Amino acid sequence: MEFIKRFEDRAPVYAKIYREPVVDRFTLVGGGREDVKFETGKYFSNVYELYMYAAMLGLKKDYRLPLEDLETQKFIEIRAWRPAELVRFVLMAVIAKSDLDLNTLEDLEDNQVEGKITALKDLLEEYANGGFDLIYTKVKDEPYFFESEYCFVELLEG
Amino acid sequence: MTKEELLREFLMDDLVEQKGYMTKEEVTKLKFIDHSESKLINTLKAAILGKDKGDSIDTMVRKLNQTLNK
Amino acid sequence: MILKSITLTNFQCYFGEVKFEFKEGLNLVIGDNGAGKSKLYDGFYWVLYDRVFDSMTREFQPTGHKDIRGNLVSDKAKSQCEPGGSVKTEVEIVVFNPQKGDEYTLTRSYTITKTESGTWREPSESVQSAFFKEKYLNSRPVSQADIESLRRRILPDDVKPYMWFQGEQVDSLIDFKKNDTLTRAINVLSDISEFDFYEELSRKAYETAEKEFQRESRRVSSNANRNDELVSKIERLRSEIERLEIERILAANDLTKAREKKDDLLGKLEDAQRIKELSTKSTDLKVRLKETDERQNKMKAAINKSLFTRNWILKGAVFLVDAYAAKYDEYTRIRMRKESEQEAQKQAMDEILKSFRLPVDVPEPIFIQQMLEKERCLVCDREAPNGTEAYQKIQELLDRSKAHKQKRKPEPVTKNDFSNELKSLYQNGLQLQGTINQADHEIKNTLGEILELEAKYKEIKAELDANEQELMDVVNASQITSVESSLNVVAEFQSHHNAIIKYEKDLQRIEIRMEEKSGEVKNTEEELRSLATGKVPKYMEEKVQVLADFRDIAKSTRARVFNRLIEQLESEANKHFFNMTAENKSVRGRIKLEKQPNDNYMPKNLDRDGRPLSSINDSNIILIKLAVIMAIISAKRSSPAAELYPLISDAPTSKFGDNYAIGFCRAASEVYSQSIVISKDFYNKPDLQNRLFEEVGDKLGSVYVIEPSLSEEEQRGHRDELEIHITKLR
Repeated sequence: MEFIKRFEDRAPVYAKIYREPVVDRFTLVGGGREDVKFETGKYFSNVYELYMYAAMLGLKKDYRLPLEDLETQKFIEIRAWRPAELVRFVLMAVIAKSDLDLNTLEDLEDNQVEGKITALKDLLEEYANGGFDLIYTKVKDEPYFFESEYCFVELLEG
Repeated sequence: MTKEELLREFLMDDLVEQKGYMTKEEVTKLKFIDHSESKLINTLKAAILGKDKGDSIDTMVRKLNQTLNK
Repeated sequence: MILKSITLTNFQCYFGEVKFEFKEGLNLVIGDNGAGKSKLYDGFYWVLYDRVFDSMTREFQPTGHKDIRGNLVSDKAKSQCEPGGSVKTEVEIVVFNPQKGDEYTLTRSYTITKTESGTWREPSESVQSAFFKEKYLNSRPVSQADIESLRRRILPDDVKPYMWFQGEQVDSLIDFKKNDTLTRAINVLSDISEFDFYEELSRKAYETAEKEFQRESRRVSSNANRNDELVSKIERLRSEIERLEIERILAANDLTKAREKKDDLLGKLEDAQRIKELSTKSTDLKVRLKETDERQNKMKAAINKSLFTRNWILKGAVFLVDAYAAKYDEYTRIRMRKESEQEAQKQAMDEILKSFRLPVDVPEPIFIQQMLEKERCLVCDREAPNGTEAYQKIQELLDRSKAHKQKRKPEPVTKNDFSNELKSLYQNGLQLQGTINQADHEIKNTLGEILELEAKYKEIKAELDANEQELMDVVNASQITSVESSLNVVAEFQSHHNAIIKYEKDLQRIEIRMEEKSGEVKNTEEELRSLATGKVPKYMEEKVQVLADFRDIAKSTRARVFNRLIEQLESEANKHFFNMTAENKSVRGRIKLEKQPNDNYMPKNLDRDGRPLSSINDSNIILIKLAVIMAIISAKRSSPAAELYPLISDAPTSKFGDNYAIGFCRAASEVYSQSIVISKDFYNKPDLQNRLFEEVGDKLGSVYVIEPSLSEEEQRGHRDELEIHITKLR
């Protein structure tokens, strides 16, 4: 059995409340050419880019937010995310942040492993949700902040 | 412009001095009423007086010829 | 004559009775567009000349003109008129002769009647009346026959165009390109047409005498045939000279026109070159701006991509690698411990195996199996019954083989082995850790570069804006309609330049030929005379000579007088020009009226040393023309028109800036004993008004502000509510 590969088969979700104010606003949904992205004032070429960004933001700020009973939106399985090394970094970070005991993990039955993967995916979603909340709060509080081209770089600061 | 000024205006022309009729100095002292033997001066006077009378050009041409037929 | 007052009653936009009172000096009527300025000017004009300005035909039209009639009367007055009633419009001016104390009142009125059906009966004629009042006496009516001479006393016809004019007439009033413009002006100064008369008279007198002389010389000639030959030769030569003269005039005209065009273009050329420079610079700046913008955008667009391509997203995420490393370290340690425990077991097994002398699988397991079945060692051929030590030893051989097989395939330490995946995560993290530290640096540099580009963009943009503004200014100030046409100017200039060279050569050629022919005529005449010398009466010879001299003198005198008057006009115009442009540093030099080959005079702008200055732009040409108009009046020596008659001018400086307006008014206050300037230049500009009042000083007369009851837009469709309010400021 493979662990990371299974993890990558999962398709994380985000809270639907962010779809319009964050996802649609900043992402060229469905992907697209770079110049189109710039001309249309979008910052991310794909939802997964924004999702990874949000996750990294949450991870870095150590801010998780449970999705609980929020309505969610699926997009695409992790294995389709790019670039691979960053995806793996995110997964690595999630694992690092989790309370998962890697040694006991190896001794678990397959279905138990799947359970652990689900827990990791949930954790990833919570960090991403935290990240989305950080972005959304900024959108509400400082709408002009996102008019600068380097807003998302700036948002990573501090 | 008076008739005298007009006469002087004509006589102040460089040609007058060049052709030996009068010097410019003489012109400045000239009075319209002054008698002159110069046919040019008399022609000019006749022309000036004739115009003032309102004679037509043809009439004046004839008068000038008459004046000079001596 | 001083215009004391004008009273407008129901005249055009002036509803009811509106009276303006004027004094000697500069009187000013200030009003915005649509405030009734031109209608006031119309009032003056109508009362004297029975005409008002028709905006349709752009000409002054008589009262009876179909566009004028009913429009003379205030719409508001008309709207208040009941059917069967009538409305009277009237303008009255009071003129005062300060020397004698006489006063004249001149009135013109026009009455329209409203029919019962509501239509208007509009007669084609107005009614004029005048009263004369001598000092201390009662006024008495002036007969209709004398009104005409009164009108000429108020404003003589020859000075009228230069005393009463509208701003928009100035251009055509003094049109340097028209032959008669300066002749007409000069005629105001002095009767140059008088000299035209003498020129014609002398020429005709000479011709008759010449013919008479020729007839007589033929009659008395010693050689009649030669005489005839010479006479016809002279005739032929003369007609050729005449033909050449026509050619000369044409060439001179062409040359003058080409020079005028070249001069026009010279100004344009400077402008065009400047425009070209500026537009080239603009193009260059636009390219640079675009480049900067593109670079900036490219960088900006790349920023967000760099989050992923250059791993900027990981900025500050080193601690996550550390966290995983710690976790992974723990994992590997435990895993290693498990593995080493297993290794220890394995080693123990190996020890056991090492205690046998025979190598593994010797003998082969099938023989051993047979041996166990037969309970006999086939190697040493001895009994080995089951349960004995010997049987056990054989059995161990079989186990040893099994153990050996197991050694090749060790037992897994855990149920699942994720170590490779977890290790690859760790390695990936380590690899990226190196780039995380770099990201900080890269972000800082990139943002720095973008800020630099943004600053550069702003700088180029500012330069471009300034350049474009200057370009617009030059285009507007020049007579060049667009940047594109400036490029044609250079080509056009060259073609005129070439034409000038050609016409100059033509002219020179023609003049040389004329001189040759004249010389031939002179020689032929001499020969002709020699044929008759002593035979023709002396008086006849003298007469021809005297009349020839008269002819030459008359011609040359006319030219001399004309030139002198031009010089006089020029020096007078320069006084006004300086006066009007005192505040304008951009206008320098003096006006020079330069004679053209076709005898026209064109104004040039020369510096102190007589070198031509840059070209004359639109404002300056109007200024020169105003200066010439003032000069025509101020240089008139025979009768001091400027002292005798009032200047009335409507919007003379509408094309200029504030400084020109002040300059014009100050000059007017100095040249004319009375001037009435109707202008919008000072409207709502108290500072400018005060400056003017200060500069004009005690030469300031009355100052009025006129304002319509409705704005210009409101006037459309609501003219029957329109009236004009006047406020006397001074």
